[in-house]
Amino acid sequence: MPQKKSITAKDIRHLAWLAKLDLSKKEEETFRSQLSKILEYFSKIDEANTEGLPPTFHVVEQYNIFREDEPCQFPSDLVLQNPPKKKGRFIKAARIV
Amino acid sequence: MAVKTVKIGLEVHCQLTSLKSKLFCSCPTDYRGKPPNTNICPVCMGEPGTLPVLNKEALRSAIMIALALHSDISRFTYFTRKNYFYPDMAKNFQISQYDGVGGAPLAKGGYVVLNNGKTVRIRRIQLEEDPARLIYEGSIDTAPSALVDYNRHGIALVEIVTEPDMSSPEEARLFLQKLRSILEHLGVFDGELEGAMRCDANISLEGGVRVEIKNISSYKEVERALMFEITRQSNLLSRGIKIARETRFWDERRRITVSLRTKETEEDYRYFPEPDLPPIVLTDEFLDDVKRKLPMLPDERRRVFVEKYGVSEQNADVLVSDKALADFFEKCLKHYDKAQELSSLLVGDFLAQLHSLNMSIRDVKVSPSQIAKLLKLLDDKVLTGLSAKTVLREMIATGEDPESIIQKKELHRISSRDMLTELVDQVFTMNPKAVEDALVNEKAIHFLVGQVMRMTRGKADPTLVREIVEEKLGKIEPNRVG
Repeated sequence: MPQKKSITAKDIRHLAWLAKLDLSKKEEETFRSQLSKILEYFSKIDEANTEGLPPTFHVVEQYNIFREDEPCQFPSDLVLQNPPKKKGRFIKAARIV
Repeated sequence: MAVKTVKIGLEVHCQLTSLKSKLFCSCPTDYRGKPPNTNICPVCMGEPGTLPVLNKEALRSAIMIALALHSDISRFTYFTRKNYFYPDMAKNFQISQYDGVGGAPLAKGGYVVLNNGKTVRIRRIQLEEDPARLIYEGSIDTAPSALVDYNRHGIALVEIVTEPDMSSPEEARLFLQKLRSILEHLGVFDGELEGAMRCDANISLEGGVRVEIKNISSYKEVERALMFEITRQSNLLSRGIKIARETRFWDERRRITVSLRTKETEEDYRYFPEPDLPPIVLTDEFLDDVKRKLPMLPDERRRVFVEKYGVSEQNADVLVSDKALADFFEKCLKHYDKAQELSSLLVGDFLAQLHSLNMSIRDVKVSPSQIAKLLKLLDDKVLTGLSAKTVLREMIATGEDPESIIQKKELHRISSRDMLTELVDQVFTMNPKAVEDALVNEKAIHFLVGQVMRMTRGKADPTLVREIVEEKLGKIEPNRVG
């Protein structure tokens, strides 16, 4: 049986840092317990016997789906309607690092 | 300070510049010089409901590279998501490949032989998408936000990772030069394009630890960045300070490396197989087909230049290190068959003039047949070697015929004995001290010959001038002795 691993407050803080989120102490606890439950639920998978089975990376049995190298200009102004912050044609993003 | 053993490994990113569309969408690749966010679409911008589809030609090009680098190509390969929050990827992950548990990069192993004979081993080769370009308003340290241009985002990139086999910054440069030449010979890459080849380097000194340097923007910068890092690390070591195992950033403007203080570890990228792209199965037939169609590579071409054309090894090395130069050489060869003379002109005066004019071989206006004409004029002794440099410079800059330049600048070789004798007489009168020296010292003869060359701005036939000078000295000598 695989070991049950519970999520610690430290794990939550690290995940929040990776996702660039600021969490309050209360939120930390909320997400810690919620994520623990999700992991617990998924741990059911560990009970399945996979002895001798090759690992599966893709669920659809499809291979070699390619497209030809033919360019096509999409109307980029349409795409530029979506980002919330812009400066001229640049998209504005929060500074990270 | 004692020189310490240095180990350098490179992680090179090369854009597949000959492709017309991006790696996973149909956006055009001609983003250079275009207004920001012009070559973007819902796929490369990662909008919900869109599906990436692999560019077949990108896969083929990457396989060509793997074959050329003697790498072992995986018969089964797929893409991996590399997750991180940084605005250079619109999706918050990069579609890449992974050489760890659950990953299968395109190829592993391989090697490149440098011009100095050293073999640099390749660790892996993989396909991935290029990130966007970020611009900071003001300084990177103080800017409140970043401006993002996604034009470059999604361009096909081949990542080539070496083993730490290079032992000096110079070898790192040699590696990149060789790699560039190989990729250009394959026809998948143009190193002349700004930002087409970028790299990260890791470097460790004996008694230190591995430090990674990111953001090296060109093969010209790599030597500089590594030199700086060697100096920094050996200073620390000689003062007994421990070197931190860290990632540093090459600041091109200040020419220093700065610590990035990153807290991310490999597992933080949460690599997992890209579910939107089905795996790739490569058959022997397909690989054999690509292999058969591989063009001639620099090492083979060098051998042809030496063995078939009779070019010296040194000249051949220089010629094949730049595909455009090697191509130009072969075009000239159609008009002029003394290959060694031709190669010497190209790797010597021709490259020197290009350099001083700050031009690339791709910008030259001179045609191969004009280069051949110049060499024939030299053979026919119409002009001197010195004047040929002047003519060549003009030819490169303007594309004018050598004959008309010679005419215009009156650069015909002066080989009239009478005219030169007159000039030698003048030089003897003006430099009595040098004449005296010349009688006892062979070297002073050069000075006298040089004076005549100067008076004629290099047009005098130097052999004839020397002959006249020696004759004249011979006539003086008996007088003095007697």
